[in-house]
Amino acid sequence: MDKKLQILQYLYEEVEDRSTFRTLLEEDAVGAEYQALSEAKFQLDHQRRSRPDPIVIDRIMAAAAAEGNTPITRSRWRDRPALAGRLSRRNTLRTVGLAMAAVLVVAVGLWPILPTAEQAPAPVVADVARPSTAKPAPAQEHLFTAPATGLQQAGVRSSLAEDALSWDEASDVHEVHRRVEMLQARNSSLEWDEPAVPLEMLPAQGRQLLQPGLRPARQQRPPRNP
Amino acid sequence: MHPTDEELVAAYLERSDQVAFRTLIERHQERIFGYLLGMVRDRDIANDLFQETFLRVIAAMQKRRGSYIQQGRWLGWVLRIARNATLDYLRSRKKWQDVTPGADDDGASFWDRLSDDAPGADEELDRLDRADRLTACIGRLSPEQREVLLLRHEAEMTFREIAELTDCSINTALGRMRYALLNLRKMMETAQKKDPTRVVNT
Repeated sequence: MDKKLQILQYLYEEVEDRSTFRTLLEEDAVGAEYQALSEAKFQLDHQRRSRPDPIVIDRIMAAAAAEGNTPITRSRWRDRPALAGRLSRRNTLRTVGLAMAAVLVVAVGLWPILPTAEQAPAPVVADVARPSTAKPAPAQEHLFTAPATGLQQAGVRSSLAEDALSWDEASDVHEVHRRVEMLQARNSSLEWDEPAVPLEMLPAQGRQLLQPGLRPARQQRPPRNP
Repeated sequence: MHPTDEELVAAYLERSDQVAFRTLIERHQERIFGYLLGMVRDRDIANDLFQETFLRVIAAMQKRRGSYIQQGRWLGWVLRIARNATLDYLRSRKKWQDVTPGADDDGASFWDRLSDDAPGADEELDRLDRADRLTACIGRLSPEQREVLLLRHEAEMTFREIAELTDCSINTALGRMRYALLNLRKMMETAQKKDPTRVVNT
C-alpha cells in the first residue's frame, strides 16, 4: 500500500501498529502530508452535526407503529390456509379423542351395573337342524327357559310359564298341533336326505295327501295336434 | 448499560417495541442525516430522504420488501439503504454518474486535475462563516470524494466498510479520502487568505 494512503489509516486510528507509523513519519514528504491531512481532519471533527426535523422522526415512528401491528394481520392472512388445515385436523383428532373418552367413561360407569362373568347368560347357540333321536317331552318343547340369574329371574320364569300355558290353551294351537302329529304319522316312512323320487313313484294316497293340488306333468300337457 | 443495536432491533421485531426503534433512530440520526445532507446539500430533500430511508428500513425489517438478516451490522445495512435512496435521487436529477473503478484508480477526480489557479472560485466562500464555509467546501468536492468523506466523518464508517459499501477497493476509498482532505484544506486556505480576519483553525 502507498505510504500516503497508509498514514491515512493511522490518522483515523484504524491501525494499531505505532512503530510502523513512526517509521513512516520519518520521511519528510510523508510527514508533511500527514500534517496537511491532520489540519483538514481537525476542521471536520469540529463541524457541528445535523439532525433531521423532529416531525420526520414522528412520521417514521407512526409508520413503524403501523407496520408493527399490520404484519400480524398480514402473516395471518398469508398463513390462513395452512392454519385452517392444521385446525381441521386438530379438530378431528380432538373429536375422536372426546368420543373415545366418552365411551371409556360410560364403560367404566356401567361396569358395576353389568353382570359379571358368573352372572352372564350363557351364549346362545343356534340349533343345528339334525335328526334327533330323542324326542322332547311335549310339555317342555314349547317352554321358554329363561336364564337363571338370581331372584329376579325366578319371577320372570314364573310369568313366562304362565304365558306359555295360556298360549297352549288356545284352540287353534291345539288344532295345528293335531295336524302336525297327523302329518308326522303319515310320513313316518319318509326319511330326511333320501334321494329324489319321481312323483309318479310315490304311492297314490300319500302323493295326494302330501302334495295336494299337484298333478304329474304329463297329465298337464296339452293334447298334441295331429 | 446501553442495549446494542441488535438488541434494540430484536425488541422491535419480536415485541413491536416502539421505544426500542425510536432509540435506534435517535442513536444514529446524526450519522445518517449528516451523510444525506452532505450528499444532496438541501435540508428539505435530506429530510425526505431520511424518511424514505427509514420507510424502506421498516418494510425490510418486516420482510415486506427485501429482508434484514441480523448480523450485528444494522447501521451499515441502513446506510446502504440510505445510499441507494440518495443515488436514486441524484440520478433522477442527473447529479450522479456511476463510475466503474479501475485498477489504477487513485481516488482522483476531474476536479483534482484542474489547474490550481482558478481565479474567483472561492468568492462565494468569502460570504460565509466558518461552519458554512466548510460545508460549502465539502459541497464543492467531487461526488465520489464527498461521499467517502461523509461516510467517514458523518457516518463514522471505517475505510474497509466504505469500500464494501461503495463497491470499490480499500485503496480507492483511501485515495478518494486523501484527495478530499487535501482539496478541502486547499479551499479553506484560499478562503482564509482572502479574509485573514476569519480564523479557520480554532
